[in-house]
Amino acid sequence: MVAPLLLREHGYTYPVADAAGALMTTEHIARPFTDTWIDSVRALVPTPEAYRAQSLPDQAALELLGCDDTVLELLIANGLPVRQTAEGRRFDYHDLANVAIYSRSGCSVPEAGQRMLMRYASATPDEWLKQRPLDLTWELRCGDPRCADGAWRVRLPRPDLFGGERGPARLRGGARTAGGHLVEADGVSALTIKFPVLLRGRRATVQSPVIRSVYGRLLNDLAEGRLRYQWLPGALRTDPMAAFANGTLDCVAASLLLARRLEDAAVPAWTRQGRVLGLVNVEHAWTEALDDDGSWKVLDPVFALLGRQAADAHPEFDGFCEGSVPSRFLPWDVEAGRPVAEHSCARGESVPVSTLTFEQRRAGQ
Amino acid sequence: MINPATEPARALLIEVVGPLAASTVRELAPEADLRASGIDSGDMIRFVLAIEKRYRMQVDVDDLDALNSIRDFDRLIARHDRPAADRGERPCG
Repeated sequence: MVAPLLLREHGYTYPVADAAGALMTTEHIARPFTDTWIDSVRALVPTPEAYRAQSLPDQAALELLGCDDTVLELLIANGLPVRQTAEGRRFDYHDLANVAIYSRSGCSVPEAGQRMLMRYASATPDEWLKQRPLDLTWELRCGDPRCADGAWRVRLPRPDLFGGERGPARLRGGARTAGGHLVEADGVSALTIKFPVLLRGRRATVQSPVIRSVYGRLLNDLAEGRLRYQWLPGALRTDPMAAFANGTLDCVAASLLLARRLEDAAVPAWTRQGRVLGLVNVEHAWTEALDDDGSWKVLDPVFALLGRQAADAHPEFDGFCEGSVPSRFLPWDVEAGRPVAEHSCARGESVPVSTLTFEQRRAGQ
Repeated sequence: MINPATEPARALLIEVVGPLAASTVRELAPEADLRASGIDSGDMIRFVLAIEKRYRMQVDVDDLDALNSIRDFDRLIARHDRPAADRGERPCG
């Protein structure tokens, strides 16, 4: 029998939540803790060999998984891919992350990060649409620490696409604006760009039965396990047919695949990338389709799936992902999987290391 | 030495980041933005997990948005670090 797991202590009774905040039930103690790890590794679709980079040693794996040696050995015994080298064992980052996000351990960084990211799904629809005045700081640097100078071409985010605003950018590192949404610089290895934004969400409902059908089919494929949501390496996520053939999708691959299916059904569609702002501030991608009412609607099957997997998502969240956009999304006018910032230097062309932080702007500022 | 009674967030963050980064955390100004001070997203997640475990709470979405500095985390802990009855939770029986 499944019942809430209660802790009695000092005369009080507490419902017990796991480390990520999901309420636990007696089912969690009916099964040995390690069973959920075994279930997760057995369901893993390993990163295909052509995309695999097994470079992480045991210690990094343990830190990422938030487990001990016993669990790691158990995962290897149950199929976690590992490469033996002269320096010791090596693991692929995405294989580890994908075991972690389905482990239900409550201890791994990817699982906890994903749950914290999706915690907003449990808030009310008003919170999803609340205006967010923020001061953003975007730091970019060449991925090669030996870089002394180089050229930059950086696209600024476009909150105006969803009814928001972006204030003037304050630039450091010799950068200059080049057109309204572009920043360029020469002769520097790093850039800092600061700008205020006002983010707004938008609530909308999809009218077109064709869009609803194509979107619903992809979401059901993910929810019912015919396709598995996993974190994917860059080269695989931007090749949606290869990701589909592998039976795995992440937000980028899902958005590209959905756009392709919509276009096959004669619905104009494209993809967009952005960031989701919160404690965990991550890259995200979604599809936009031209609806029968003449407006573009946001379609986000991956967040709908993660909302279904969350223990306490608001009942309207699933429908919200079909047409609406929350004020946590910071959009770029850039397709999914394409770089928003490019850098070239003597070391070659590269996607730079990017750190975006934000502070809430208080009233009067 | 950091006193966990007066600086609970800093003491816990030192546990999370480990000895290599402990000196950075000791020197952080209470109001400094943690992410801009080199605390990466993995450490931020571990830090929130550690707070939730130790203080047996769930950080809600509004709090998550406002957590930038040691001072913010100390305030959060101070708000929650009281007996359950003081927080309006119903005692057993």
